[in-house]
Amino acid sequence: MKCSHQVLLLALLCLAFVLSAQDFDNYVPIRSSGKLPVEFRTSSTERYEEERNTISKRSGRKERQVQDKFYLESSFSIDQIFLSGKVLFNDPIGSYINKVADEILKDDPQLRAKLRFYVVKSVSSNAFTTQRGAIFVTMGMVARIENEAQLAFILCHEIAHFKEGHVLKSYVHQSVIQEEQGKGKGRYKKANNLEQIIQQSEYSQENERKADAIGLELYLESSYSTAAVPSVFGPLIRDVDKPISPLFRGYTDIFSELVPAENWDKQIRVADSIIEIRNRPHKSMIENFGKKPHYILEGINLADDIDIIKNTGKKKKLTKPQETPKIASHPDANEREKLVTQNLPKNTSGSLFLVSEAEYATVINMARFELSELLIENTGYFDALYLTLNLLGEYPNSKYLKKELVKALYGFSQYRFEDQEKPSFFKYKSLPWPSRRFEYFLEDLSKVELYLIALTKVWDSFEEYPDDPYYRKVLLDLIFDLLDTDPDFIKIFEDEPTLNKTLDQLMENAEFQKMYDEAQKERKRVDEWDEFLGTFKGRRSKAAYFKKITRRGYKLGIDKLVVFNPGFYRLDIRKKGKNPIQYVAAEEQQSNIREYLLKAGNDLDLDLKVLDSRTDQSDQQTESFNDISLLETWQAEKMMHDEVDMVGSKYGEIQAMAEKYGTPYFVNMGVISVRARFPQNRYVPYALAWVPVLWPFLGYETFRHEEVSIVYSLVYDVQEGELIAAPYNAMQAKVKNVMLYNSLYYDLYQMKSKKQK
Amino acid sequence: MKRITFSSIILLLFIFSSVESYSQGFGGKRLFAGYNLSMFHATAFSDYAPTGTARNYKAYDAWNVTHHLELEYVLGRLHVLGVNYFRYRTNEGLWGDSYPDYLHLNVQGYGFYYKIFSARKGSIAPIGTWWKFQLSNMHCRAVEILDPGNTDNSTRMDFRIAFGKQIPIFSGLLLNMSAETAIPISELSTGQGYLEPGGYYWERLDSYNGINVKIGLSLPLY
Repeated sequence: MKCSHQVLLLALLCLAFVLSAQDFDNYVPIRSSGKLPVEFRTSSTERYEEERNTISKRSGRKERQVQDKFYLESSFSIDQIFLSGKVLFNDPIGSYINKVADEILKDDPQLRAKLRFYVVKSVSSNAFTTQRGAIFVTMGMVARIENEAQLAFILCHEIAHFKEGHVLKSYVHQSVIQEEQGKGKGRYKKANNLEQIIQQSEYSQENERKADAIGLELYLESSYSTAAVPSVFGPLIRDVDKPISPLFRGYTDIFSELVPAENWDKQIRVADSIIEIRNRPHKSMIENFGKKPHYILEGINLADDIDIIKNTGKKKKLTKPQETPKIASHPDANEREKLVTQNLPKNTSGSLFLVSEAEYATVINMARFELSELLIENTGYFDALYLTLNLLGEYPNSKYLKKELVKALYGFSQYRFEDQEKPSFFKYKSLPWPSRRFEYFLEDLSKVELYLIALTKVWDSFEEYPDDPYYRKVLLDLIFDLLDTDPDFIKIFEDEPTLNKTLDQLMENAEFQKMYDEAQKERKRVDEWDEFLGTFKGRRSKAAYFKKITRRGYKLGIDKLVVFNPGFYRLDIRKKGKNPIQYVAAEEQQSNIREYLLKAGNDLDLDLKVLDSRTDQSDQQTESFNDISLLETWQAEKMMHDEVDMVGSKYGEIQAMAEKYGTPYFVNMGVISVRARFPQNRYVPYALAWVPVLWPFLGYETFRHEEVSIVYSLVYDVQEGELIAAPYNAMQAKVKNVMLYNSLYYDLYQMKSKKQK
Repeated sequence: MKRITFSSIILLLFIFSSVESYSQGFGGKRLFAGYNLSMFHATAFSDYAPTGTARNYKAYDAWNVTHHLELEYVLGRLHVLGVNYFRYRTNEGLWGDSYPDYLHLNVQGYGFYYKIFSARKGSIAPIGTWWKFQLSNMHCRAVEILDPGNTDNSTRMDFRIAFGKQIPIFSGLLLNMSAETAIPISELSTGQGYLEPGGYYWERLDSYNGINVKIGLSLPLY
């Protein structure tokens, strides 16, 4: 009996270990789960009404007005963050952060009850607090954290902001400056715009110093290590513009990973290109350049790096950190580090981990896995490649990471091919040596070389995972690129023996040959389409075509579609310097849109589903929320690749979603309603003023305004990854109720109608 | 011939409407029936004293008033076809020493029109800003008040142009506002006696139709 207890205990322990350990070889991206929190469901107007009731009636009229405005703007802005799909809930990372917060505030349950911590899917390294107690930590920051104590200090800092009410105070301070400057009285009466910003920056910096000090007090009350505090200001704050990889324990041979050793010709070609193109007189690199590029590159030490910088003049000299600039929301990291260190006890004490070191390790790795995807979504291909290759060093069998590598490589090659070198590729002023070496490597690859590396890598992945739709689609796209009939493009590929050789080798494979034929057919179709578009006059024929079909009717013949995140935006731009967003009016109409869409779909006998997490009262809210998040990300990425025709990184996920909803057609619809000053002739009022009989008209002219409502739809065929129609209708009227229904009905009608032959 | 033309239009309307079970228009409704009242202050045409009464022949408080019944059909986003029936009757006239006759002018007519909605202003028929082009046929009858048996008839054709706006009200009705002018087509008009083309009463009719402001309501039928 005793023995069986021990076995059971052992089994439970094993189970607990299995549950807590994430299988990184088969990593599944994080999604929000469980029930949608109330915070995500409550209407912003309701929230605003609730918050404005907390304004003290003892305050002066002006102060009450400013606070009211603050609650209005903040309620809606924060809810916008919640509904953006970027905020995770009931997820392992958020759960861990909340546990750390529990640990920090275990002696202050009242304060703890007021706070909620969320992770935001963002590449930046940041954390921010809100007046209502929601504190956000970005994925980029979590990925950079080196231990639990660092996270604890950051949370303490944000909690201090909340305790001190810095968000509201900053807003009030800014309003006072603006008002005094506008009225020409008070302390800031003579402040110009620059001085205004400086004043605000100084105030903000002062708040940050206070938050550091109060946060430190809170931190010291916990049992976290005091030794960890100064390190927070390094990788998390000061060095956030550096790649994340220096944090890694291991270093992967990134070059041999990109160019497999067995593919000798290619390696030579890559190596040659580095020597050919590189005009930096880096002797050691060239002299030592042998048959294995990575061997040579590894042979260079950090001291050589300085020489490169001096000789080439391309890189800026490494300089000492400067003093805090006047216009900055935060003081300089060094200054903050110094101030905080001064207040630390001399004897170090405490622990780096209080919640769980194992959980920390899992969470941090998850954040880094997630970060690679976020970087790709934001075209940060250089960082993504570097991060992924480093992670692959630790998890060489990870299916997820292999795919991330292909995504980054493919994205990089596509942008390079279209000559769209976004600054996000090489944005760093100073890089630690391993990443700089990698930067040189990528920078020196020619278009064709990069294309070849991407093609072979995608082909290898396709062979390994033939059922993955992403690899197939990307491979087809790359072959499709090869078949471009543009003479300039062909020229790039001419006299490229490596390319021809590689292609000959690939063509021996029957599957590749099949895909080549498929791509050829697609190329023919696209060329015919381009020719057709060419018949439309205008600067951009595609835009001219869309304009024409928008006016004449664009009949798409869709029987089933999904409308996601329908939006209503109301702006009043009559007064300069005033926030133009009409939050409450917009939210009123927002709730109507879903209702009207469903009604119109029903009237049209159209199988229509509306994904709108806030107004969706069904049990599927969280699922809808995740789906909206995916669709929004997919759409944002698509828009980002405006000039580059490429397969989105979410292709596989979006295909699965199309299958789930039984349609490839997803539509983003919305209304932008604007009230503006009437663009009248400025002499008209003067003319009218001379004739008393016309004074009523003068009054009318004075208060006359213009209403414009733009109803837009972006219709996507996610299977093809294409925007198939982007109709919009700018009505010179305020659109609400019946008119809104009619406009939505018209668009849905067009989507359902079939083209008559 | 006229009956055949009218029947053909109605037939065409229903053929169009049966092409698809769902349709565009005002929430899917394409056929509308409407009543419009067109009017203009008579003093604008005081030269002709068109509707002065026996008590107030200068007609400072007199209005030209026409009643219209309309049936219109939405063809597409910007196009509408319609037919209308209208009638008006002048007040008794007193036209000074040189025109001692007391006459009523009874007019009724029908027309068919084409409306084009403004794409530039983002209209979606039947809501928005439009231009209307109409061809009308009117039957006018002049009746002597003192001797009702003494009547003269005429037939007039005119081309009407209107500019206006339709907006939804009460979530199911359309409010129409427009201004309309009529250009007589003399070549296709006939008349005798009092209503001889180019005569005094003919000019009265011209002034009556000259310019009007219209306001009315439309109800979606189908």
